[in-house]
Amino acid sequence: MLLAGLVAPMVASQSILHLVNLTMIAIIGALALNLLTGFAGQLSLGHAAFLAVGGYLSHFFSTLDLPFIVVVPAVMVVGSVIGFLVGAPALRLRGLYLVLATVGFHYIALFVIHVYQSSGEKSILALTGFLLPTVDFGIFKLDATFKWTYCLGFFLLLTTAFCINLTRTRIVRAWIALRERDITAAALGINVPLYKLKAFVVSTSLTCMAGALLVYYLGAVSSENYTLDLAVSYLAMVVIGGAGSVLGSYLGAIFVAVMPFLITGLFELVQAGPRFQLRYIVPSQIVAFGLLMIMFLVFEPRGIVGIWRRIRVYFELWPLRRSILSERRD
Amino acid sequence: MIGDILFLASIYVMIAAGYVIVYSSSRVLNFAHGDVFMISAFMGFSVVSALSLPALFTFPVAIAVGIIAGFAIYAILMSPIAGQPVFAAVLVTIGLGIILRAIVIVGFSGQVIFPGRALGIDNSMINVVAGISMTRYSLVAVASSVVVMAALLAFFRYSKLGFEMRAASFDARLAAYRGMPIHLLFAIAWGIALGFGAFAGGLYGMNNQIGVETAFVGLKALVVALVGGMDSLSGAIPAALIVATLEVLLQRYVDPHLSEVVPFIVLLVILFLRPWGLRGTKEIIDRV
Repeated sequence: MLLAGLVAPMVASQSILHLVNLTMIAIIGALALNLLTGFAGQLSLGHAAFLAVGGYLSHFFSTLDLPFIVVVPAVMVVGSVIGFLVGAPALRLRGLYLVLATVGFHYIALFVIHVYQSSGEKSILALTGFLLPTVDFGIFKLDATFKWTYCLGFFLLLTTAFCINLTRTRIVRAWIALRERDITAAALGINVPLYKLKAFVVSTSLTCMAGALLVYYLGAVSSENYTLDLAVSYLAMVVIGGAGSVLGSYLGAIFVAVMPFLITGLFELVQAGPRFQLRYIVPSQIVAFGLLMIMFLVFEPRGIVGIWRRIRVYFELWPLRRSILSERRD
Repeated sequence: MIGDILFLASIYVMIAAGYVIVYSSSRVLNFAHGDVFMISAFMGFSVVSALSLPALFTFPVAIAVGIIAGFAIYAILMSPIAGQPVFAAVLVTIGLGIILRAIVIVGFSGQVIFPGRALGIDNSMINVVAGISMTRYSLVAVASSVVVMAALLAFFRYSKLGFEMRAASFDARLAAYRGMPIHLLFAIAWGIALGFGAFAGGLYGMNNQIGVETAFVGLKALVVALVGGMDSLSGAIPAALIVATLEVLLQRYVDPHLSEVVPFIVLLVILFLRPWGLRGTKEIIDRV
């Protein structure tokens, strides 16, 4: 299987590879958000803004002629500093003040980006965005889609390993404790504001990395792509996939990436005319996001992972009665 | 210009009151509030223009849409997840918000409409006091926001129902032990909140325009609610005046883009300096 994974990018078609690459970036973003929302229980609507920050920072660093290998860590460092500044005032408070602070940050960041884009010498050209150079490692260039698949796969492996290892440390156990009950966590000797802040800084830093990878992969950065709906769709990934689960981030991101194709397929199944499709496809995607998010929250708060676990437990205990299943909660 | 400030502030006050009522009853930040504000303005206009009723019927229709939406949101979405963490409820309202926006995009083709002009109402400028002139409907908005706020404050202070609602939000479990129908009380809170938001939407539409972007006004009013204090109705009044003044002044003299963002700068500043707001209680957000 590993071998198949290594060989597949060589032979797969361009459009599928493009989708795979975008999904891998989405998974990195979803992992970052899941650390914050799923494990630490802090809600953030600033994900789109931090992706944008990552993108524009990497444009800024690349204009200084820094190579890709230097830009990505630099973006992560600066991103975590920004995350610290945004998160520190909100996270010392109880309750959902982070979501307010991040909504505020979203609009402020986009305003700053707007100013950054429309000022400077090449302002007319830059109104719609900036171009980024091709990534050059010296020996070889990332100038084809399949090369990017390897590169992004590497980053995804790195992020996943980081997240899985992190979940085995005291830090994530503290996050789960404060997610469940902040007062109890404080009584256990956890410095609640500090750990919330750690969660937010780690999450923003990874998000900025995802943003940097995204713009380098696309070769351009434009402020129009970073809407609040994008932030909501990342939240949807976490909720649909399964909050508080690394596997859940994968499933959620893959689901959200594949869903537009499912909906297009559904439209073709009922043989809708092209005008009908043009008018209804995008809104019905949004409605499906929102609806699925709500349904999962109401009926299955553990997301797809929860369903998967229940099915697995059901088959493990198959001949036994259901009452035993309901007692066994992981 | 003072007219503009007063109009914007009165719209903000009416929306922010909704955030405060919902938050103090069920501790939920209702991110769908701005979308209900927008969709009820749309519904009010489309019902009135479809049945060719007089323009004033926009308001009752919009208010009815808002109240029904409030009851429905509480009954269908909020009460089933009552036991879960608050952030689940907030996520539900975020999801609901994007659904409502998508419905508006489909139902109204994403275009901007001008209900005041379309219904042919008289919205001419009138001189109120020397030097201050404002449009008729913005005067109506200011007057009705004063009435609405006075009525709400009186309702929560003096009426039995308002008293029970305060009790239920203070401690839902104790209130239930005393035999209060807390689910009904919370549903009424949502109904009142979204009803007034819808009324504000109708007024906003008459004086300005309605589009999908109008929901953004509701989001800015969330800042107003926070600045005033999430659990303080009366705090919303000075907060709305502050935010509206900053916005209108920046729009006139500095940069229209900046004026769209300035409420959020105020938000971050207030979170830093005085997160419980101008008149909120400090205890509810005690640092852990």
